Amino acid sequence: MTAVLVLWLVACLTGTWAVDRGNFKTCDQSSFCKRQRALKPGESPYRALLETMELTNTRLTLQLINDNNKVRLLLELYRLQGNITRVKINELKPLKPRYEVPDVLVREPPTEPLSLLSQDENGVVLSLGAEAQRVIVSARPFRLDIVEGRDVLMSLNSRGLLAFEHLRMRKDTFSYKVTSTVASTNKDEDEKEDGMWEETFKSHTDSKPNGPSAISLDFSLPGVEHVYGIPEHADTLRLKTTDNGDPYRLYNLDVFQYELYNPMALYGAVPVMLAHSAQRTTGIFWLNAAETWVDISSNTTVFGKMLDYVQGSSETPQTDVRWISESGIIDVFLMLGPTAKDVFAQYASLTGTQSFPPLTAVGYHQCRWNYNDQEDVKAVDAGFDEHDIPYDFIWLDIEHTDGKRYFTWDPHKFASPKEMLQGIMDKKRKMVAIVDPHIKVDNNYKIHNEIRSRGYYIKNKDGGDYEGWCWPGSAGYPDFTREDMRAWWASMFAYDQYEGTMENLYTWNDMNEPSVFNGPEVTMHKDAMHGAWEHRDLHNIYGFYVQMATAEGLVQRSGGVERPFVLTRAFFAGSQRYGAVWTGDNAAEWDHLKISIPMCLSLGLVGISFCGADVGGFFKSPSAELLVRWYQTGAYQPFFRAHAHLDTPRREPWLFGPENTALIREAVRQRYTLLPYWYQQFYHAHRTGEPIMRPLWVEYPQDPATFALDDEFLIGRDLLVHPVTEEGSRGVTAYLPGKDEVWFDVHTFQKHNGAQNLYIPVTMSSIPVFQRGGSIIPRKLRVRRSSSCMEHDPYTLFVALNPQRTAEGELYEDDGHTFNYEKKEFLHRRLSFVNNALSSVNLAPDATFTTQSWIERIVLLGARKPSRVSMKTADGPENQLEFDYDSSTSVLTLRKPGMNAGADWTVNFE
Amino acid sequence: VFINCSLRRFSSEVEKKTQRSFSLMLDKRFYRERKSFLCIDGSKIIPSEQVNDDYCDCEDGSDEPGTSACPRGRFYCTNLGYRPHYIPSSRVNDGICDCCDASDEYNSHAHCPNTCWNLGQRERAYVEGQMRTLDEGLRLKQQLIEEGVLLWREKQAQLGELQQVSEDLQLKLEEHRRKKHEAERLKEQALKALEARDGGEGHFFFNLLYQLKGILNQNIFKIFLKMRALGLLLTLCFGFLSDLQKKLAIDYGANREFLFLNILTPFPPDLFHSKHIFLVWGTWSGTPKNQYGQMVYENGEPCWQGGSRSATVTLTCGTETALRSVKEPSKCQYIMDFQTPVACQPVLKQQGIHSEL
Repeated sequence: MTAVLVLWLVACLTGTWAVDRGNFKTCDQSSFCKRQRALKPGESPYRALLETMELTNTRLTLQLINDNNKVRLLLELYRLQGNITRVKINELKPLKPRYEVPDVLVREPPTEPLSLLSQDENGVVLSLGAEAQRVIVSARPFRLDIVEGRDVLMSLNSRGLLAFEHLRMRKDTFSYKVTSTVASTNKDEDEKEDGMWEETFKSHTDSKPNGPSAISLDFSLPGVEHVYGIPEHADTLRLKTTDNGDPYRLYNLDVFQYELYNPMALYGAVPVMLAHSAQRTTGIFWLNAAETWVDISSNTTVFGKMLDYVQGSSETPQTDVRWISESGIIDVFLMLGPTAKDVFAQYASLTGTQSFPPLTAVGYHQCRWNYNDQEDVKAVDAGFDEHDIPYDFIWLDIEHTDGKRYFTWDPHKFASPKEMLQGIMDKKRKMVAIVDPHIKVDNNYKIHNEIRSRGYYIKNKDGGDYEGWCWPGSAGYPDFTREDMRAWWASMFAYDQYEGTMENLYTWNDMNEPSVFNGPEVTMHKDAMHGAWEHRDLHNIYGFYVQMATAEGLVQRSGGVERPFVLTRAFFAGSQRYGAVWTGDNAAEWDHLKISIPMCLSLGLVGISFCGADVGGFFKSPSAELLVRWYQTGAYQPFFRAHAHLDTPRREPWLFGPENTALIREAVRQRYTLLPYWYQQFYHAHRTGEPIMRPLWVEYPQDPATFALDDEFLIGRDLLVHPVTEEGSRGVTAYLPGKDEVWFDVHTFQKHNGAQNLYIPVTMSSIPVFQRGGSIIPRKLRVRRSSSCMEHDPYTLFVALNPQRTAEGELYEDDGHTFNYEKKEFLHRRLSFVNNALSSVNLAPDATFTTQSWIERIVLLGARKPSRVSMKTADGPENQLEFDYDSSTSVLTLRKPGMNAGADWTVNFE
Repeated sequence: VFINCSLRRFSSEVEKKTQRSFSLMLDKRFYRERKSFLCIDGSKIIPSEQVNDDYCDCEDGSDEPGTSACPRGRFYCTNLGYRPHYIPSSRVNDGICDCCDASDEYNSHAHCPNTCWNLGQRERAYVEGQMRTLDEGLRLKQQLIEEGVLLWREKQAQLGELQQVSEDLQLKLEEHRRKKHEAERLKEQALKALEARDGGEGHFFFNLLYQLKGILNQNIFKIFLKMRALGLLLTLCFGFLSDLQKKLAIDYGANREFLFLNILTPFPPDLFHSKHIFLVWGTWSGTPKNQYGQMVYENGEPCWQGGSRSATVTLTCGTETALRSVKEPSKCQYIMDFQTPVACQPVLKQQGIHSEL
């Protein structure tokens, strides 16, 4: 008895700081994953019925038949604009409709013509347009190969793992006998398999009224040894093979104290994988919102045997990938590159780009669970001024509400929220208050009453309002998949609905996986109902809709004028359109600091650029050293927010002694000097879908040394950051890419050659950051209390010359907070240094924007000493400029050229 | 330090370079109207027209005392009618009113009213109030110190008494020990006699001796009981004594002014949810200048999810002894504001007079 008690105690104590894996399913515990994974590669039972082929200008359809059970599937194949091929497979005649994910694609993707090249009894060859791209449909067994020239880019069902559990009637029901003739004539034993019609995990039973409905498909990627993406996992940037463990799991879950370096599911899911080799980058977008598992294995295949026209028969490395989802259909977009940036553009054309945030959201965010009351908020705000540390946002977690009733304020602690918000506004700062999707069941709570009376709650399997436990106790979950519900939710953010709010209050959506404390795997029962659909079908997209509706609310409350800012924990493909994400409840540990890099890099690769990790770590209490290093790292990641758990001691930046305060101040100040560059990166991401924080291989795709790097990263093209993430570090080794590149240390201006591993000795103040030779980066060096205070400040241009003595950069500016940039109210300049002249030309002549900002300083790195420097603006005379040359560092500083940032000008160096 | 109280803002917009009217009440050593300017750190000489031209030339920021150009610069708010002070240069023309005389926003969209007079008035009223509190507080403090002297004496007397009592008890105990020894010796003798005359002296004598033995035994037992009672008393007495000695060994301030808190009142008042945490006197943790301004309590009752409760109590001058506020900025870490006359210090009066405007 005592032994049991001791064991129990030990379990409780040791369990405190690690995920309780037993709460979450392994593949073996998820019956469809287990069933599907039991299928081994081999000859596919599927055969293409070529006689059913129909080819229109834009679409090929074809029936597939499973020779084992004679169930027919319908294959649709589209050629989409921008080098994308879409493959859809559904049951030809499903018993009832299967879920197809709506609202993720920004539009019905425009198609391009397909044409038939050849056809025989073995298959069909279609042309995919330019670049000698073809798709080969093999009939027996069914497979698809996408070929360019003599290279196979991708093969589908080449390992015979296409599987489609057709909808069927349950055998023990009366109607089964009627339909059984249509359904399988095959072995009945699969009906007896566990978990097909009911499944139990821990104390939760999933009723599964529709029976088995899983789908699966394999993809072979010849020549590929590196695959990336499918966030969210706390794992390396380069995905690992999963042969010896569980597949990567995509199922939005609220994981308490997650573990690192494993394939367990976390808060969000983006079913997009990138494959890269020195020759090519491609992507697979598996549009399915049900629970999904992804297996990755690495092979070397003698590929030539399969297709006689493929060059040679030498061994080629190959990565095999297999996707398994619990329900829905196969709807996959093959993004064929050929470059990484092409893939980003292709994915952006499907799901949209990163929303363009208000400039202020790119500043520093101060959060804690919780700032206790208005006085506390005021004191923290004043603390930043007292210690001269800039910040833009202060955040309020769940305790600010009246009993966890979102859209309300605690009547004692936050009795006069407008007064508080006005105080923050007076400092040109903002606030975020949390609004979670679980709604307290309380008849005196307006929001609950409205949702209930309108019938907007998700229903349980018996048709009543679904209830689960979350922060407020018993809670209902609004059905955000309903458009009318989302419209209503958005209207709740109006200033007259959400009392006590002002335009400088923004929103944070947490717990939107959704988190259900007493639900299976801390989330919603899969047999809960969203209208006709089961939660099973769309689980991974719930959080996406929550953020969508919230962002829409913030837009609407301003009459469509102001850009919203909404942070979400759960996400799906397309979430980039609605705001920022963070990596959830991490911990104050060095490994968690390290993992923030690959986690955000992975998100950036799949379109979600606005990513960050809780600076300092959410659980536990960081040492001063860890906190400083985390600020230094976070200052160079897109979303820069410190956050802390309720149970941890205070950790505002000035609480660790004057030295550490100074170090944190310096890190935050570096962030603020670079805001013009960051903002420009966001604009670029918004326009192109390219990641802001990006792995080195994206810019140096042919350098295999970069392929697995995830302890350093690029911001845009021009800044390389290798944060110090080791305790007690005395130096880091950074890989500087590009054999023709030079890199300038942004602090010392020392020049280093590319394509080398550089050892950099570090002290506590070091943040190794390098500017690429050949780039021009605008900064604002007058760091003020908040980004808004710096709006009209002058720029300093840092011109880093490459060995050819040229450099290029951009300068983007707009009002920083409205959608007016869409109406061409912005300025966008191209800055270029060539032939000893630096000039600014208009990149957007049709756009208009007047800025008060001017150029106060130009710093040339890697410069020679000129004898004379002169400047010419469009309408002014030629001016001679004062300059200062430091021969020891080859840095030339031009004193106060003074031209307006929006003007045309040229500076000549003689 | 060097540019103290000196530089006033210029009326014109810096950027437009119209006539720059330096209404400089300068320290003539540095901003003399001459052709060049030496950065105050001596690092550089620049032409005087580059002073306050919205470009930072000096590493130390000394050439731009009136603009936001230098990252390390400071701007002087004259704040006539109120208190002058420096603000970081980054707050010049940032659209937020910092100087009450509005001098920091000479080229921004912010419409800053001059609030110095109001602030000054409010400040003066506040200082007056504080002075009254201080006077009253000091008077009360003196009383408390005097009471403390009496109390101290009383406690010292108690200590003496207790020591006397314990000595007496010890003596008595010693005496009883002797008595018991004596009684035991008597009993021994009687028993020996009894054994020696075992020969058959007669039944009567045997009975007598036997009775005597009983009486002696009873006597010993009585002494033993008394001794036990005395021992208990002595233990109690030692307990009181060491308690009192410990309490009297505590640092109650220069004039033992905090004595009354520990002995007269439950301190801090018993309003916290933990009864274990504050039964002990904390540790003084004030600054060297004001050693008795703060007290910390550590290793309190265990907190949920690890750690133990702790409290930092700030003692401030007031006319009443009362807890003014309790905050819990982090879980189980309390910050309390405790007002008491004994925290009033004459030195505050000096400061108060200095800050009078």
